[in-house]
Amino acid sequence: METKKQKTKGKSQRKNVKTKARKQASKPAPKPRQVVMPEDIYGSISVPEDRAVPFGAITPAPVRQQELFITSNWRIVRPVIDHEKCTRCLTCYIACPDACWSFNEKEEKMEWNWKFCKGCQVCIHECPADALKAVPELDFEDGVVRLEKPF
Amino acid sequence: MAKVTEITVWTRGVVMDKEARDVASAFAQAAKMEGKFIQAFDNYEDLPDRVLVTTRKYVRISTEEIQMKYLYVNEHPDVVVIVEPTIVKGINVLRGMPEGGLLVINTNRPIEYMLKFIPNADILGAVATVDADGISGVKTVDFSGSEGGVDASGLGAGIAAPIVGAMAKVTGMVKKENLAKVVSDVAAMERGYQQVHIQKFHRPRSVYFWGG
Repeated sequence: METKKQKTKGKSQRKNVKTKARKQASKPAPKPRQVVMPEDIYGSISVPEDRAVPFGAITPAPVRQQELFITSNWRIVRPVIDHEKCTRCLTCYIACPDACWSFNEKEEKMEWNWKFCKGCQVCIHECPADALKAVPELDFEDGVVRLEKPF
Repeated sequence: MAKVTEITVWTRGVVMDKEARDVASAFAQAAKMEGKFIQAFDNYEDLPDRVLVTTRKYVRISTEEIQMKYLYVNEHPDVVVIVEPTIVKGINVLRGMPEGGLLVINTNRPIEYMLKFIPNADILGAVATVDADGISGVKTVDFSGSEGGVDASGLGAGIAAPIVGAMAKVTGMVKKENLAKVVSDVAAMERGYQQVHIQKFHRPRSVYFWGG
């Protein structure tokens, strides 16, 4: 067969294509490959220690706060809001790079997430009503994270 | 091998990187002038260091040649220096410290207030505070990206000078005269040496006597 093919190589390629198509049509269609998924796929994976992935390579889906990546120990100053001055314009909500400002609809006021605020002061700079103020983090006794390693 | 004194300097990445490097380099150079063997090096583990992220610098001082070659972290620091005081809220700065260690903080707040944020302070031998920001009057914020790499102001131009002065007074490892040859802001170093506040605890250690 190979010798014949080599001989016919010089001839028109159209013929070859046609014959191939005919051969494929005559074959029965292959069955779809079935993959059985385990019920809890994430819980069933066991990795040996020498092939373990580094810190942060696998995280839970981003549907909630990632407790692995608390960044509040980057903060030197903290934004403190004056609720009387605040006009609920949500500029801080838009400006915050870490989505630390959210609107509490029940109490109708802005809420600040201390766990992920890095103290970048973008919200303070952007606030049109001057309701936000930078206060040194050491003035407060709460907001302590005390991580064992830098990150 | 003789006792190796390990010093860890905690700082904020990029914005105060040069200050902490100056603390480490100046203190080590002054110790070298007194015939001691030293190692002073930057962080290798806390990378990538970004703006305001906590990073470390390390110093090792010994009377004999230091054999710790391929260890890039001071696992058991005898002295911990904190260049930016808010770090005590975010990091367990005393991790690995043997009993009777020394903590030096750059702050103008009272020592009792700072100890509120350090629940494992009972292993400390002494705490010292120096108001380096107030003494040097320099807020060292440098967003140029060079991180002091192309800085021509020399060692200890900013808040590093009062901190090394305070360290010399409290640890007693280097002499003030030798530090004066190293740092560029000698007056600030002198004031740091004189204005350091120290509080000792009843935990004496045979190797060190903090307080000069």
